[in-house]
Amino acid sequence: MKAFVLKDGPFIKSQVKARHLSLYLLIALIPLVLFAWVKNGIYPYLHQNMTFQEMCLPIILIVSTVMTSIITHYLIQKIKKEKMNTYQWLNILNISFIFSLLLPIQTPIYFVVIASFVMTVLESCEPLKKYTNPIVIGILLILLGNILFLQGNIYYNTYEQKQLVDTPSEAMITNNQLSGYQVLVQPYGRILDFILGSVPGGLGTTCSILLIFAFLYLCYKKAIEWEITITYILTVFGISAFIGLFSKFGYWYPIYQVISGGLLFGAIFLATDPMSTPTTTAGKILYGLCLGIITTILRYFVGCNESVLISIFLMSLFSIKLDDIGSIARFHFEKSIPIFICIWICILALGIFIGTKYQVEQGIDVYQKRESI
Amino acid sequence: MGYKLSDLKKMSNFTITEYLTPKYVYIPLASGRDENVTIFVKKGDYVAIGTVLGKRKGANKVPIHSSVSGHVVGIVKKLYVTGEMVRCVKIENDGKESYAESTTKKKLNQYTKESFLETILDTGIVGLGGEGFPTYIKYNTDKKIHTLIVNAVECEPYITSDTALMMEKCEEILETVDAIMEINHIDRAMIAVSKANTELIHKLNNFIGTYLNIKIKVVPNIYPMGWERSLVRELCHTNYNDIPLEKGIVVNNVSTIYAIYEALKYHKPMIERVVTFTGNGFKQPCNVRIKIGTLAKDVITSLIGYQAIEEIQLVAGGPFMGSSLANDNLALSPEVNCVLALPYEKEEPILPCIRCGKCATVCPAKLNPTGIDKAYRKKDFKKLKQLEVERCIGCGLCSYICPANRNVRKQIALAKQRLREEEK
Repeated sequence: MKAFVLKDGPFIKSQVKARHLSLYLLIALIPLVLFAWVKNGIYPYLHQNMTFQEMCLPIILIVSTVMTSIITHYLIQKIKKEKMNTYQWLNILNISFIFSLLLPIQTPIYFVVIASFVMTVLESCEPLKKYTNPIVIGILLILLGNILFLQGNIYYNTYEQKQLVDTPSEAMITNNQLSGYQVLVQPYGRILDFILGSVPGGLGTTCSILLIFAFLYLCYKKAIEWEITITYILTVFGISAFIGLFSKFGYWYPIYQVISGGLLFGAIFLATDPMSTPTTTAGKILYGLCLGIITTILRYFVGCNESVLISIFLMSLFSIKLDDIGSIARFHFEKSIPIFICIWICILALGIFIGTKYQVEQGIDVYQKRESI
Repeated sequence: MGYKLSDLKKMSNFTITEYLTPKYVYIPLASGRDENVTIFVKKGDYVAIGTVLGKRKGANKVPIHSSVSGHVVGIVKKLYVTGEMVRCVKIENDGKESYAESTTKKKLNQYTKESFLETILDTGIVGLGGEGFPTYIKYNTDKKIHTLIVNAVECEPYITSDTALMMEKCEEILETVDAIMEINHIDRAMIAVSKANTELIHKLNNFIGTYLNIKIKVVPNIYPMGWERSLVRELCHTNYNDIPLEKGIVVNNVSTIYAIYEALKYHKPMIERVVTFTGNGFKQPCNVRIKIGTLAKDVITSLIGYQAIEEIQLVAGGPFMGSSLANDNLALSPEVNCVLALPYEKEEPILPCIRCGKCATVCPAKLNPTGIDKAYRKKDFKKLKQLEVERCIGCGLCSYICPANRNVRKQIALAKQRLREEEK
């Protein structure tokens, strides 16, 4: 006797499940994890600039993050008396990997454990997740801890410490962003070094080429949507291009602004966190544009070292509002046109204002020169 | 908007098998969810093919005809396309195939607009795309109709009944389109075919040359391109509020055009249609021409056969818009274009929304399901109205695409219903 099963339609479902999306993200992160170890551990060790213990440090940081997150989440699920599914395991692995790739190499392990714990608790807390990105909070905690307790530059590995004074994003800030190629790029090599990632920065955030491949892979697999990342990058690129144009910098300047300061990593892995970002296309585009504007303002006017993280933190507070605008724009696009016009004007004004306010001569900041006179 | 799906149409081939001699037929006394029908026959009455069994009340006064000749056994309840039990006139087929009215051949172009409307109303022509909307209403207007769109898109996976009919009756369908244009003074006609349906495009190209005002329009192979609104937007680049007639456009399904052909040519009422029996649950999926009121079970037993599977999902309609059936005693009505049998697979667990936004990306009605769900849970009716939940067409793409396995369509339907109740 045949049994007829009653169920609600549709009667076919897409084979791509949440766990697959998480798995694609994990696959995209693995090369970056390997890069983090090679750049901060294996390569300097092979060139005899590091001890064996120092070589293992990147992996120790990553493993500490992952283990803390897994244990914390397991305990939370036990307390909540909920079963863990594959998606949740993969999700926890992903957020802990992303978090660990943002870590400065010299972060003390106890900082990492505390921040990972806080991040995982936030990740498990549904209402809070909608307003904030737990990874950003975790990293901001680490940086706050550094300011309060360590006050040293924790971004260098031992090899870099011997050679450099500032990280690229610190160099940007100390020189008001408007220094020339000799100040911003040359200490670290060429633009190519930024693309290949052999410059100081977060553990796995510096290799632009790997990040671009990760982004293309994630878009191809539809694990993330392109809108936020692309609009964010293009906004920063656009404003920097204006600045570069007025300050008579070369083509390198907008490229440099995009591939330094962890912007690519933030735009691909943090700004696309689905829980704290808008779901509609117009909402996502607005979100990306605003991120670009805030990052630029923080970089040029506030002199903030962590402009990308803070922009994402600030914008995630407005993601629900942006989604409302995006939902209305789907039916009545004309209603969102004034908002877009305001944003475009803002981008244009920022570019022209910054570009014309500070003049640069042969790579030396005239503003600073004037100050010193 | 929309989504490209694997069409799974090859399963049932494009030929049509006939099953026109059922022992009993069960003619549903309903139209969609409307069961408001006056019955004209009683137990023991003799009816011929085309005898009016009942008439819908209200504005949609389309008659319901007998599809066989024989004696009325009684009024019984049978499973209907909606998955619910409805009243049906049970008739024992005497196999004589006697008609209530003569079916002498007429020329298609000898009709005036008035006689055309009268014929399609008398013969009970309703839309055969799945909605069952009375066809005469679409043409009953003083407004100028400038465009006729013939919908041969059949965008739901598995279903091939329209394609099969078009392949078989291409000439007749084109002739009818030409006649409808002439009678209603329509300027142009477009036959919308999915890009993936190369065989049909090829077939149409062989015949289209003689009809200068009929054009083949190839549309993207995405679901739900066959939805009236998508089609009008794609082909005429315009939007409408309620029906396409507002913009001088009429959309007819291929099967409906063929039904109009039979009505105009032979004054044949709506008594037959082609139904796709398909899915991995059937042994021999195929398209079958059936008499309206035939039980799906009879067709399956005689022609199709079930695979040796313990648990099966039987669906009246396509995999997206269809209704789940509790058994195979389904009375096949004009609205049933497909009977789908799928092996039952245990469902994946439902996760909380991961806000991936895929539902919003694919929604052809441009809705934001995540926002609607949130507003519904909060009982924020002002927001629900602002998010235009009413626009949902229930295509089910949101539920299909959801990686968290949530039945998003159901949530939106609940929100829509709740908003309507609130507004009353």
